[in-house]
Amino acid sequence: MILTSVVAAIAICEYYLQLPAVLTTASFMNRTGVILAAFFIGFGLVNIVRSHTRAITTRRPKWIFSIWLLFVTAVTIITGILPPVTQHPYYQWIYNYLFSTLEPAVFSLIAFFIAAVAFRAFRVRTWESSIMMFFAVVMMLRNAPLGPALFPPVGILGDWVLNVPAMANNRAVSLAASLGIIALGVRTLLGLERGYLGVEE
Amino acid sequence: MALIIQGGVTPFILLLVLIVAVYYFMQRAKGKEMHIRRIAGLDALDECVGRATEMGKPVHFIPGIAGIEAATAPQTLAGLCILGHVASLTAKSGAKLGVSIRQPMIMPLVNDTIREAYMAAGVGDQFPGEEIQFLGWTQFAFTGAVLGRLRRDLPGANLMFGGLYAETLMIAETGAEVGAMQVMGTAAVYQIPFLLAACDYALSADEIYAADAYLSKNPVSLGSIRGVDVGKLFGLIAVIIGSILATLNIDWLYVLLST
Repeated sequence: MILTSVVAAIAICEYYLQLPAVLTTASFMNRTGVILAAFFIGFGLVNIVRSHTRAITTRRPKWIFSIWLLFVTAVTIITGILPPVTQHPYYQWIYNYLFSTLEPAVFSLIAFFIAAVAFRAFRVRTWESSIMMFFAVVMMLRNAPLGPALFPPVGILGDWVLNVPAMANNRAVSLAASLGIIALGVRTLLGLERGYLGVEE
Repeated sequence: MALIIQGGVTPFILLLVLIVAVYYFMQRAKGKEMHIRRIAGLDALDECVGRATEMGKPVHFIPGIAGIEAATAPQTLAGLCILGHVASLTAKSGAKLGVSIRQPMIMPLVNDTIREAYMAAGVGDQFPGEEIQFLGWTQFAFTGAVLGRLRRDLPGANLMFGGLYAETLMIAETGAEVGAMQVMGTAAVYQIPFLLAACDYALSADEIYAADAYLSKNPVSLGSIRGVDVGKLFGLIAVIIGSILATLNIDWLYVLLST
């Protein structure tokens, strides 16, 4: 707990104070964190290999895909290590034509999930849901290029919704979150926050 | 050279005052019964695990996708605290617990949290080590892996607490499609509307930070929430006064807070 308190004090003081000793120590702590994070990526790789090797040896359902995952992992690592490191044409091909394209492809599915959630959750049953539906339609029209062009008040009303009530709500939630973080920090420093240790009181 | 950075004097003083206030209310709460308002999402955790146990299905938990860097550590810590509580429930009920992790740095924390919970419940031999899986470091590789895991395992409860971002809606909707009861919470303001639309229960920022105090029912921890409420009250007063002064074109409060 003493170590946690000292580290927390340095982290807080780094943000507000201009003492060279504090800034140097905080910078060292940040660099150490980056190095630890890089180490833990290897730790995660070990976990993946163990998990999927076990899936293959125990013939868990769809274990064929575990073989494929391990194969792709091995190919990516080997091509990444080949000189010049991470610049080999094979690795560049994997990165540019597989990895970089798959990430936005999965991200683009969000549009369909939004439609599915909206169909499931947005039901006009009460006057509050009616108001929410009205403003949801206004915001959808406002964000489409044709919306403000066809109905100028939609743009004005949409901008007002974004800049006034939505902004106020976001700031209120952010303020509450910030205060909650401080209380969490105080409880952690005093050793009262022990849920992450699995200890039930 | 000034000791305190420019624009940091008032915030630093306010931070110290708030820390003292939180500590004061914590000390005042010793030996007393403290009550805070009911947080439905946290009360529903028991129901979630019970439902999964009765259906013979596993409980799926994601302690957020953020790590323990400075900006996101509180959310991750809050998620781990709730994971400890859920692990205690699954240890006692016998339900299977599966955890999907995106940040490998928190894997040791997750392992220790769950192991301690199972050992405290006297079933350390049932520690679900194989079900605690690192699924991928990039955001949507992790998301794809979680969607596959939900479709294969068909959990009875899908819980996510911590730093949640763009993948939230996809995971929540897939959880709803497989019939899981879902409780989720995050401090990421822009994800809260998605949680409210897609989940059975959703927790906002200050609710997940109060989770450990609420679940443990420790009066001293609950006293810290009282201290936070005092801070919110001062914030509210400052907003009202500041709005009136800004309307009258008087900026002394703004100058004071910017010092």
